[in-house]
Amino acid sequence: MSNYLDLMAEAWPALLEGLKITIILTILSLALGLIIGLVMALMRLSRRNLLRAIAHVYVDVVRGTPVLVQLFLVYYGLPQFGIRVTPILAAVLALGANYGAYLAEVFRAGLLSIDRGQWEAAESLGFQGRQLYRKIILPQAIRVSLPGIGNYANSMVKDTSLASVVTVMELLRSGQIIVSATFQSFEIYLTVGAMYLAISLPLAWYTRRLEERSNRGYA
Amino acid sequence: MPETSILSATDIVKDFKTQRALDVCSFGVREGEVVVIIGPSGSGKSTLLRCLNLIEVPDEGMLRLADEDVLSMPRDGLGRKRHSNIVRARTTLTGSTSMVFQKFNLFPHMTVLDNIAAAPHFVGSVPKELARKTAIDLLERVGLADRQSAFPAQLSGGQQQRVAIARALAKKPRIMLYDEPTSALDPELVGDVLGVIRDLAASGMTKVIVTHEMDFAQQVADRVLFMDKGRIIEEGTPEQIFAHPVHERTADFLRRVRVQVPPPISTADTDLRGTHDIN
Repeated sequence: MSNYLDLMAEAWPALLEGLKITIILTILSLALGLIIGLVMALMRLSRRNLLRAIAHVYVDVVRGTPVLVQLFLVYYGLPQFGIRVTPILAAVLALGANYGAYLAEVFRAGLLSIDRGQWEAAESLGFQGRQLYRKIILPQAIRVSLPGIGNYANSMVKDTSLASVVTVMELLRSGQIIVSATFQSFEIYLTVGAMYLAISLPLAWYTRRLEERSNRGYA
Repeated sequence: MPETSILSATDIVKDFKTQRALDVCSFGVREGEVVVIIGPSGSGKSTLLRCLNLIEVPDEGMLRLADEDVLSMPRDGLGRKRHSNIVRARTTLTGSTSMVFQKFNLFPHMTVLDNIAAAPHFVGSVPKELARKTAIDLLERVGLADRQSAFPAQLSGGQQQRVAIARALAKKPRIMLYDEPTSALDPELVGDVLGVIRDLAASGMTKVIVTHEMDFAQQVADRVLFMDKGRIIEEGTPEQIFAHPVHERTADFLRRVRVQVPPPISTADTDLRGTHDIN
């Protein structure tokens, strides 16, 4: 036990730094994913054939390829065209783009669940375009989408560990480096796992709160 | 008559996939007039009403609001401008009309008060405080002032429909459109809602009402339209339609709905009396 404490005294600052990067990665990638997801879902339901087709192809292609391949493509592939990206930016772009495809389907299901009568009532009251979506349709669609979003948010926390393969010093990679210096694999990886849990448990609790709040007034 | 109409539809044709819902229908409503549309299920009466604010877009025909030609189909429905033409026409029509739906269609994520204040505030740019004040006044008129912070799901069907009426009135329409406003209600709640609609009739509001409530139709209508199979078969005063229908189909429908004629076969059928079920 005292062995472990000694180890932690040494490793803790680096792990904490890694945790910070992991949280930042999660927030940025999720934000990007949510934006892409919502835009793609709205495009999928658009009147215009071209927008629908683009969204369709995007979702199918991105879902059909490994996120690791996408990550390598962004980090190693883009520089070939003179586009230099930092490791963190590459990870955010790849994870955000990847989750965007999945979240598009979550939002689309939410939008499709809205009763036709809601659109008709809103239109009969003069709502149209942006306002119709912002005030009437999206609040209801997002409520329906929340469980799915919570699922992917939780998943994102752990998938940020993929960023370690493009040299981002996030939690897993910090752990790996400590292990390579101390050879205490079990203690370090167990601690790293616990630290992921320390993010995902509060997140799960928070999404449940959000769901409860959005269910206010529903029978 | 169309010249004096505040809202009129001319030669409306509407096809649903395999079926013709409206087969060349024309009618108009004058300022302050209450027009009630009756007819069997599937006769096209709701579709005709829903064409008046372009919730349903007709395939052919013209819509006029006061002196303005709002939409002329199929001309305005051709080519790339179809969508913008229809949106513009719908904006014009919804600016002067409000609709009350069979299934209420209140916004479930908003309180009663916000349901009513939303359109005047967001669409009509009325300041929020004023919109809320107007909403409270309207809630008083429909007898629900104490439920302003409830959510729709916490109200009975009859209460929801009264809120929906208040919501429709809040944008100060010139014409109210009622699409079977009591058809989704439990029988004991129908009276309250009809009462609210009737009180508003007395206040001189122009209305077009689609309903299965024949007694109500007879009481409030200035003019009654009878529809069957996508056509307007007959129109006239309630007296003409209900007491002296000219067409056999009208008479037949009224016999079936109102059970005025004593049941011919056995006395055991008498407990069917008073049902308004037309199917």
